[in-house]
Amino acid sequence: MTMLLRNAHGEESLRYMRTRALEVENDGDKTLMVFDRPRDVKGTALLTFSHKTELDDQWLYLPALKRVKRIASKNKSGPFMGSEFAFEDLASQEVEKYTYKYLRDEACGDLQCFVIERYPVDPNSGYTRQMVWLDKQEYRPQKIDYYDRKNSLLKTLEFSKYSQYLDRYWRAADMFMSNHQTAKTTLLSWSNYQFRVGLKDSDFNRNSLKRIR
Amino acid sequence: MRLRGLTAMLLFAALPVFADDVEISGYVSAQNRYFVQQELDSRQHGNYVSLAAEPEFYLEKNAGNDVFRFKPFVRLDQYDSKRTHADVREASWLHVSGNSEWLVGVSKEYWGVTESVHLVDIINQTDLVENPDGEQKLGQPMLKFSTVQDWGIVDLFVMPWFRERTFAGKEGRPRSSPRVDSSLTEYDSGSEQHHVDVAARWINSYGDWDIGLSGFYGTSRDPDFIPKVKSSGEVVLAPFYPVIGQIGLDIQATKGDWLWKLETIYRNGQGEENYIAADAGFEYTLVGVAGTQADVGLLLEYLYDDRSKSIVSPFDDDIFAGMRLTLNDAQSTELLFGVVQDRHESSRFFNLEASRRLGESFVLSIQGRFWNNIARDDPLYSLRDDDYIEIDLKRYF
Amino acid sequence: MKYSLIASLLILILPPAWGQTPEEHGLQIAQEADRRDTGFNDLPPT
Repeated sequence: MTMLLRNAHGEESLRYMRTRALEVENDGDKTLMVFDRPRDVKGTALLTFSHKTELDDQWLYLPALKRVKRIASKNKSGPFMGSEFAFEDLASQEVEKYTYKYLRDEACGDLQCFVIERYPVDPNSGYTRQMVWLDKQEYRPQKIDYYDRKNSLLKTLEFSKYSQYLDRYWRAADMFMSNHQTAKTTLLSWSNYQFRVGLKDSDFNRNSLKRIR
Repeated sequence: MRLRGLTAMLLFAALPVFADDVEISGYVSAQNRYFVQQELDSRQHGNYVSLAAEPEFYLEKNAGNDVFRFKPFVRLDQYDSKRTHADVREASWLHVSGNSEWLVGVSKEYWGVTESVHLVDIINQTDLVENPDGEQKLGQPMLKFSTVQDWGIVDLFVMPWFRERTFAGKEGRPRSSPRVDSSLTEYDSGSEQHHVDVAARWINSYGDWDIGLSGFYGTSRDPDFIPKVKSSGEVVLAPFYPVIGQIGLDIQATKGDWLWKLETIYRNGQGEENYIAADAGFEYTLVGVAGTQADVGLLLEYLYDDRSKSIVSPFDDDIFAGMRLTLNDAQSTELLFGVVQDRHESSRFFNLEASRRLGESFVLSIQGRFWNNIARDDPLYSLRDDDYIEIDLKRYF
Repeated sequence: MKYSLIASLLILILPPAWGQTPEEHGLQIAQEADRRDTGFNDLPPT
């Protein structure tokens, strides 16, 4: 997974990271993310046990000190690695994290979309609401508009290059976030999706956090 | 250590066989330390330039179930012959089997949760010439076993070789006056550096509570100091390393924006009496301060040591207050400012750390350490004129 | 009496036929999207 950060002056900065996730029945996912670049954060890793409604549990591993720190997951509205993505934008999108309202049907590019509005349940979310375009055929998110706490349009996320895996699961290769208030953008590109590779619960603990590379 | 280094070299002589798979990363750094006051000892200097490198060679086999690491460190200092030093930070083989891990070789282990002092952390010796904050550590030879169970993670350590703390040389700064002469090191144990130390640790999480319990028996990483007169007439301090037993407890409760922290130890064998030391406090984070993306963390810790009658510990009844500013920008700009104030004396210690990434692979950091109004009977008294500002530029590869 | 019985039956029967509130419809879409995406078991390295 790479992130290309671009500021209003066109200056670019690149991030490399890898992530593995485990679906947990009746709870949020467990994810482990390790950073490869920038090189000064190489080996830094983040273990997240997300929950449907309670606060997520998060541990950060700092390889220089070999220190594992439990961190406050409440800063979910904060930017992820200096990008335009907030932690909550990348967190597992459990149904219970929002309440919903259907708005209309609308064309989105070549497709027909449902337009729904969703409202974060968590009062610490950085958003009052999000408008989501899902195509009617496959229920894939195509676009999300994020409205900040003052209810003004903050960011737009666009999904593209969808592929289907295991004849069922659709994943976008590119997620492009643009911030309307700062003119900064981040292109998040996923590659090498793999499913059902035999990850176990034991691959997600503080020992594996220190080990992951 | 020379012998250890050699063993490490032999262990890693096998590496070129898989040269293609070996990942190399690390950094080189240039550093300048400027000392604000006139030196206490005429052999010392006002400004020190130094260069350092810490490459890491990493090799993974059997789908990550066997991991080999080799991480040497070297620093060359303009004046201080003791700060010019090399160390094997890591030379280890880690084997993973199901829920268990074995590690053999030189490695590093960090325990604890608090910011200002690290009481519970005891596996590695402090590389004090690197940084007076005590966070830089020497590699520790060990055999480690770790297992993950439903009831927590247990780590067991056997450590067959002791590492002496590093101290600034005649020309070095900051340093105590009189200086510490490591060539006069003495041990409590008859087997000296060969004393086999053992340690165990258990950690577990219960919801938003993280708890760690640890035990250690072996040579203390903290020396006591004995004044001696050398044949030259110079008065120096000789380090004496006693054999100690220590029990440690560390707890963190993560309650929303509040992190509540406690570290406490009970130690016997260091000095005449058994003692208790503790560090308890919190870090509160203000997220997205003043409509920006920046976070401000406020830290407050109380440091206690029941040997307050003696002069062994500088942190016997002190308050640490700090502020951490994280800009959350693309350059990962961070700033940490802290002050440790003695509750009964005027002694005060200021600490400033700031860093920012430049481009893709450089990091510029600035550190400042200031000892202010240090009381005559405070162990830090001889550092009273060693305030300094350090600028460090690292290039990562 | 007869009419009021019919009326209450209508009240019971009609809402689903008329369709849902926008809130229910929105939730239903989100649940359907989630249903189509669950069961991937695990999703390692990228």
